[in-house]
Amino acid sequence: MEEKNIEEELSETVSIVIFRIQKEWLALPSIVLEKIIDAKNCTKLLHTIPHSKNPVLKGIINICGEIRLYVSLEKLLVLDYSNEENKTNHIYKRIMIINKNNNYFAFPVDEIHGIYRVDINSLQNMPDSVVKSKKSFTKTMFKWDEKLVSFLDEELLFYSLSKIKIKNYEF
Amino acid sequence: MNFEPSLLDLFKSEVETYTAILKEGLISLRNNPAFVNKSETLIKAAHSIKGGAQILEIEEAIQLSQTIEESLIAFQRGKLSLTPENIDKVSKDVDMLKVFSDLSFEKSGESISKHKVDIIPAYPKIQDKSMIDLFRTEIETHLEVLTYGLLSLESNPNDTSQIESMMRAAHSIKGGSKVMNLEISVQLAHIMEDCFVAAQKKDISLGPENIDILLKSVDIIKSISEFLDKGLEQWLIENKEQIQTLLDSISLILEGKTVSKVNVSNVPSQQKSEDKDKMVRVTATKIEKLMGLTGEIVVNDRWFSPFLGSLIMLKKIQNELLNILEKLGEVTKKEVDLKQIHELLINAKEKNKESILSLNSRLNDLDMFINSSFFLSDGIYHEVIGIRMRPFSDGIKNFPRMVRDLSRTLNKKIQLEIIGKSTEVDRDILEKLDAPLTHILRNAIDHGIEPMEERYSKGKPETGKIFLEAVHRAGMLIIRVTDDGRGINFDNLREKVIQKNLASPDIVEKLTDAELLEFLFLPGFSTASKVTEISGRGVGLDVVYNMVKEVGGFISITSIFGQGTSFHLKLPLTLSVIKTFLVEINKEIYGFPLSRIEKVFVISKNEFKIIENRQYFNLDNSNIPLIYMDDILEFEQYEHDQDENPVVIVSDGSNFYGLIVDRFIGECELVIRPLDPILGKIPDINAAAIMLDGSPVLIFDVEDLIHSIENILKGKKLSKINTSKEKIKKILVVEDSATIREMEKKLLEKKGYEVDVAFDGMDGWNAVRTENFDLVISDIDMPRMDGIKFITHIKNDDNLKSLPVIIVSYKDTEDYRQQGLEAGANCYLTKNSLQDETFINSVVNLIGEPL
Repeated sequence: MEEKNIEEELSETVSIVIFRIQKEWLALPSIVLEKIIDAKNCTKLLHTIPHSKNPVLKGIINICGEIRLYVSLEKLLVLDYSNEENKTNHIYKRIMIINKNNNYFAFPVDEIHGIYRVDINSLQNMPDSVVKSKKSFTKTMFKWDEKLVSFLDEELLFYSLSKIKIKNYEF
Repeated sequence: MNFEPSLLDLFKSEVETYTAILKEGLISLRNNPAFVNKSETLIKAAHSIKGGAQILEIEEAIQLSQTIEESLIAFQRGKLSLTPENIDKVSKDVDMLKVFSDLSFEKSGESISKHKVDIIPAYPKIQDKSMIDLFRTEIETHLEVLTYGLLSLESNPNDTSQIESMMRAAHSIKGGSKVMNLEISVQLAHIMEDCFVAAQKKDISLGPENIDILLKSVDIIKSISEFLDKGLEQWLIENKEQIQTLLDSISLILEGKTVSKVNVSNVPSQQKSEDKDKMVRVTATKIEKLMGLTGEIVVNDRWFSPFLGSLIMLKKIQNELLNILEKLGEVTKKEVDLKQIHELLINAKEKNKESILSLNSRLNDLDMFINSSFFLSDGIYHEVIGIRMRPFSDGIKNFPRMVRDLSRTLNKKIQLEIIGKSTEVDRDILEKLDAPLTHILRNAIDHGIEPMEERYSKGKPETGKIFLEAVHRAGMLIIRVTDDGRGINFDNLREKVIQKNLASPDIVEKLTDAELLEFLFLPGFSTASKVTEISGRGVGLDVVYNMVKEVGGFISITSIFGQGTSFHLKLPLTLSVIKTFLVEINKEIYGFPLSRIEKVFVISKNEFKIIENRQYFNLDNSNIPLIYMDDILEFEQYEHDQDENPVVIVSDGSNFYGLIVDRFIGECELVIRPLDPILGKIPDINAAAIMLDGSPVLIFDVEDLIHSIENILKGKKLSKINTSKEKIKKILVVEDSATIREMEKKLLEKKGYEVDVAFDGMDGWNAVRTENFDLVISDIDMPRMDGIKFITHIKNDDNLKSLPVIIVSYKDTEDYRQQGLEAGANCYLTKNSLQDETFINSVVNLIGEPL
C-alpha cells in the first residue's frame, strides 16, 4: 500500500487499462489486471451456479486451469442499454480477469482498447448526467481519443464483488 | 460488567497483532531514526491496545500501553531523544504487554506482573522463529526414539539394544535445550540419560512403574518445546510441582529404588492450530523426481517446432502435386500428347509417394510423441499426488503409547502390532483417520481384549494382541484393526436390536451375522452393559462410519464370538481425486460422487405413480419418491414430457430418493477443486472440477441434496425470500479495534438492530455506497481513512448526506468534539459511553427503536 503511494507520488501518472462494455468506456488501474483471454469458445469454459438468483453472479469459469468467479460488470454498474442495438463486432469480445489480494473475478467486455499511462492531473470531474449507480463506482472521468472514459473505483469494485451472495442481493 | 470469553480472545489477538507492529516499528526506528515521521501507526497501535484494555478494565495493560503511547509521542515531538537505550526501554514495555496475548489470565493481572519479574529474565524470549521450528523438529525425532525405546523395553525387559539409542537421544535433547536456554529440559534430559547409562550397566532395572515416570518426562519435554513461543513461562509456573516430582522420582530410580506410583496428572497437549496455508514436508526424492519429469516435458516440447517444419515440407510437396495435376488437366484439354501426359503422371505418382512416405513418418513421430507425452504427464500427475502422501507410521505415532497407557490402567496385557508402517496414505486421510482409529483401538482395549484371568481360563495367551494393518489393494487403502479378544456375542446383539425396536423379532431371526453387525453403526447403539470412561462400544461407532462415508469409503466388521473382532476400512487412496458419475442437467454437467449413488437406471413415464400429488415409482416393492433435479436446483421450469427418464437413486441410509436428470454421461475421475470462498457454502454443491475438454463441472453434496429433497417433499419452499416484511433498522459499525467493534455490535444486536461492520474508514466508505444503512457509528482514529474524512465523504455525497452518524472515540477533548461535529456527525460520544446506557440511548434517540 505504502510503496504504491510513493510510486504514484513520484510519477504522477498511473497505468490503466481502458475497455468497453456496451457503449460505456471504462478504465481500471492495470495493477489489478491479471489476464485477458479471447471470448471465443468460452461458453465451454462456463458453468452456472444452481440456486443463484443474483444477476451479477453469472457462474464459474475455467481460466487456465483455475476456477474463477464469472461476474457481470454490466449488471453491477447497471449499464442497461438493452433497448439499443449492441453493435459490437464479436471479434473484439474478450474476458478480463482482475485480481486484488487474491480475490479473482472474470467478466466479459465488448472491447479492450489497451493499456496506457495517464497523468492523474488531467483527470476531470464527472458530468452530472452520469447515471447514479455508475457514478458511485466512478472515481473520475477523462477524455481519451475522443472517448469519455470512466475511471472506476477499484476499491469499491472489489469490495462489492467480494460481498457477492447467491441469494438476496440488493441494489 | 461480565464479558464473554470471546471478547477476551479478541483482545488477546489484538494485542498480538499490535505488539507485532510495535516491535517491528521499534526495530526500524532503531535502525533509522528518520522513521520517526512514520511513527503515527505505532502510536495508533498502542492506542488501540489501550482502548481494548480499557473496555476489559485490565489495569496493567492500560498503564503499559499508556506509557508506550506517551513515549512514542515524545519521540515524535522530539521531546525524548531516539537513543538505543530509550528505544529498548519502550521495547521492553512492549514485551511485557505481549504477555497479555499469551496467557489465559483472569481479569486480575496480578500473576502477570509477578512472574514477568521472576521468569522472563531466566527465559529470554527467543525471537527467531526458524530456530524454534528447528529445535522442535529435532526434539520431536528424539522423543519418538525415546517413546519407542521405552515401550519396547517394557514389553521385552531383557532386550537392551534400544538403550544405546535412547542414551543418544537424551543426550541430543540435552544439547539442543542448552542452546535454547531451557534449563528444565536440560535437567530432565540429563537425568534421563543417567538413568539409561545405569540401566545399560544393569545397575538398575526399568520396570513398568519406572517407565511410567520416564514417559511422563518425555511428555514434559514435548510440552516445553510446544509452549516455547506460546507462553512457556506461564506453563512452567502451572506445572512446576509436577516437574519437581518427576525430577525427584527419577533420582530415586537412579538410586535403584522402584518408585511407587506417583501422581502426575496428564499433560494437556497443545491444540493444533488450523493454518490455512500450511507447510507440507516433502522428501527430496519426490521433488527431484518431479523436477526430472518437468525437465523432460520441457525437452519434449522442443519436438514440436521441427515437427511443424516437416509438416510445412509435406504441404509443399502436396502443392507441387497439385500443380502437376493442374498442368495435366490443361494438357489433356488441348491435345493428346501421350508422352507428356505419361511424364506428368509419373511425376505426380512420385510426388504422391513422397508425400505418403513423409506422412507415414510424421504419423509415426506423432504416435511416439503422444506415447512419451502420455507417460510424462501421467508420471507428473502421480508424483504430484504422491507429494500429498505420507507413510502410515506418521499418523499413528501416538497409538503404541496410548495402547500401553490404557492397558496399564485397565490392568490388561496388550501388544499392538503395526503392519504396513511405510504404506503411503494421503495426508488429509491420515489426519482424518486419527479419531476413528483411536476410537476403534479404545474399544478393542476396553471391551475386546479380556482381562488376564479370563483369557487364562479360556486357554488364550495372557497377552492380548491387536493388529493394525495398512495396505494398498485394488486402488484402495485398506486398514484393518483386529483383536483376539472376546468377539461379539450375536445373541446379545439380536436381543439388543429387538429391545431397541430397530427390527421385529422375526426379521432379526433371518438376519445374517454381517447384516446384524451393521446395526452397530447406528447412532447411539451400544452393546456394552456398562459404559466405561474409556469407551462404550457402539457409542461413537456411528462417528467412525460417518468419517468413512464422508471420504467415500466403506467399513465393515467381522467377528467370531470368543475369538475376536476385526474392523475393515476401505478408503480411497487420495481425497484430491474423486470418482464421479456425470449427468446433464439444464444443458450443464454435474457429478455425483460415485460412492454415494445406490443405483442408476432409466424408467419410462408410464411407470410413474402419482400419490397425493407426488411422483413415485416402485423399486423392490417400495415406493421411492421421484424429484426433478431442476426443481431442487431452482432452474427455470420447462415441460418434462420425455418418455425415457434417467434416474439416479441416492440414500441417507434409511430412505431412498430418485432424482430425475436430463441425461446420463458416465463415470469419470476428477481432480477436486474448491470453490471460491467468497460464495460461502452453495446449497447442494460440494466442489468443482475441470474436465478434460476444459469445461467446469460442479460436484454434488449428497447430504445436502437429501436435505433439500426432504424440504421439497415436506412442501417447504426452498426460496424463502424476506419472510418478515417489517424492516429491521440496519447499523454500520466502523471501528478498527476488534474488541470495541465486537462490543458495539453486541450491544446493538442485543437491542434488536441489524449490524454490519467495517474495519476502517475506507471499508466503511465502500459499505455505505453499496448498501443501505439507517445509521453509521464510527471511530475517529483509523488506518487508511480516518473517521473525520469518512464522515466528510458521506456528508458531501448527494445520496448519503442525510445518513445519521455517531462518533464513538477516546478523544474527549473539546477540539476533537468540535472537529467531529463540524464534519457532520450528529452526535459525539466517548468510549466510556459503552459502559452504561448512554451509547444505546443515543442510538435510539437518533433513529428510534429497531422496528
